[in-house]
Amino acid sequence: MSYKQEEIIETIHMTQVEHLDIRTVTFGISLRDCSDRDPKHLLANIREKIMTRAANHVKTVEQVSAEFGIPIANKRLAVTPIAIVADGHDKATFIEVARTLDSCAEELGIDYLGGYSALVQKGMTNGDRNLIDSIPDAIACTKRVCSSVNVASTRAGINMDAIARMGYIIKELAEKTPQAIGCCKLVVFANCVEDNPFIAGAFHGISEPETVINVGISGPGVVLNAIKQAGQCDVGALAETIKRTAFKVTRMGEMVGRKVSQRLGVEFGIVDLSLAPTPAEGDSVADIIEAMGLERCGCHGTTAALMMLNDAVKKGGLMASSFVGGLSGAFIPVSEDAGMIRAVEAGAITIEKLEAMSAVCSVGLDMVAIPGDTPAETISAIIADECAIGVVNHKTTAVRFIPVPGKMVGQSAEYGGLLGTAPIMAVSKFSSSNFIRRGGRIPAPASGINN
Amino acid sequence: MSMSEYEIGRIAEIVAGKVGAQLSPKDLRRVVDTVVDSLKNQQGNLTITGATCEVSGRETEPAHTYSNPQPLPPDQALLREKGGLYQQIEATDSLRIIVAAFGKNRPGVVAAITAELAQLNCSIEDMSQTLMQDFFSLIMVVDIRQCAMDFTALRDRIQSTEAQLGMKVYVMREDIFRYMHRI
Repeated sequence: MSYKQEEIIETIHMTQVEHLDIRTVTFGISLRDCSDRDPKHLLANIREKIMTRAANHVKTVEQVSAEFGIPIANKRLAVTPIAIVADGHDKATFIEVARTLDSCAEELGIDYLGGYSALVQKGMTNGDRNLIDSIPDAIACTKRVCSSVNVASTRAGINMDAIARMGYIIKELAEKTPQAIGCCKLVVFANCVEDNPFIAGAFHGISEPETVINVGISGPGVVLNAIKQAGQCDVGALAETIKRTAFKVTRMGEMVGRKVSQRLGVEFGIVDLSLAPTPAEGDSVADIIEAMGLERCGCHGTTAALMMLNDAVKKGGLMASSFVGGLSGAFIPVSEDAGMIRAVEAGAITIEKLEAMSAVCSVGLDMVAIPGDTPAETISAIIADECAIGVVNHKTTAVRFIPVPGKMVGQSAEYGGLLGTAPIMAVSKFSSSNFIRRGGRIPAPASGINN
Repeated sequence: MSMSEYEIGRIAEIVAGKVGAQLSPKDLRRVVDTVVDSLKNQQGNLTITGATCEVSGRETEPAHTYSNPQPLPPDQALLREKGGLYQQIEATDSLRIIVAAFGKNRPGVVAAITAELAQLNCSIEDMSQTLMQDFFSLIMVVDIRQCAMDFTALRDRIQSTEAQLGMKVYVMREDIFRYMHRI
């Protein structure tokens, strides 16, 4: 037979039992040619372009998913950062743009649309400022629009003015949406990437083509099972097992992405090798760490285990696809990962430990709920810490914090679906206010000046 | 401000060049009139697209049309043959499928599935079966070139034997197995 029986059973087991799925097929559209001085024309241009270009996205993805028997969890859109497209307009117009994006996404059957974004690592234009100020209202009055703001990069340093502002924006957004759910759709980045297919940080970078298809793979469940089957081997052998699994998962992701892109007549961009957990039992990055022999995710040894996992996934994936991009690393969102939630509730994991973990894997402090009365300056200071890790290590880091109004440590906020349940985590009770209020820009680190 | 016939003629030409394709001759005439009137009354902020919207009753018209990029002339075109794996993935969907059935053994399992395949004009290229105690597994590689049905309908037909056999039947295109297990 051209395939061994084990190979066929393995593939069927992966897709049917171990939750192997494609997390997202994201359609990127450039809106650079939609700019117009007249707000009416701006909105009409954006609408026309999205509705014509992405018209068949959902249908095609569903077709490919049904035909190849691989579940595709999300169909998403990414657009050029709106601060660039609508620069020169006032806050009210920005909110109208968000509404237009939302209605387009709804009509096309898109789950989430990313790109209500600004890139302000070095400084802000008027448009950037208006976009940032409009985020709370724009997210509160839409369902599917996601926002991201890049506040630092290895090349530019850390924009502390923007970080100070973002603390207040996150607080305001929390107040304006029930249980602060809007904060799940806002992420603050350092070293953001232009081809990220994952929400909330997806946007269509300014060096991207007119349209592009990017794919985000998933599959913590598959890796978990492979580790369990590997039994009592040493960590080198464990890394090898993870690498082999990642190869297979990535190959499948690339195949699906290329099938979709070929049927849509749209260029194929990249495969993002992230291990993205879901609240479903067994589909958890924390469970993988625990399966390696740690009693609870977050105990000593977690950072080392995570570093090995992240690296092995990359090595397997890089062999499988020549076009790897996006964030490509393990995600450690708290509320979206059943094992993480258990670890927080058991007191095994704290924000400080998450911060250390974010130095060796993809993104960072993700989907972390904190008490609603946390001062804006404290949130800003946590963002600054996370940015420092990203900037010095030449990697992407991000903060997606949810200050849930009226909730205290020990309680939790229930969001349902892929967003899961967020236990409230403790932050330092000491003030960072005087540092944050200095403002300004932290200069780029010496390691960033490498020409 | 007064206007000569020549100037009005020029305006008509510009308007026709910009929005002529999307309007009837009558509407085009009205757009030209609106633009000329606005110029006469020195309402400098009226645009041709704005006038078109007014005439055609649409709220706003996008300022651009978003057509697909034109291909380069053949002598300037880049070599865009992908070759190798990427070409294989993108060029065609495999015309073979994998059919697998798992469950408690009972008489007639192979017969039921193969009969269904024969009716659908599918030819079995390869087949393997194993029996461990009572648990039976059957895997087939099937050529569907002669089958007139599209894949999803074909899959549903084959899977419809599930209830009758009391087994789990999977039908998948071969592509996924090839890319997962072959470098």
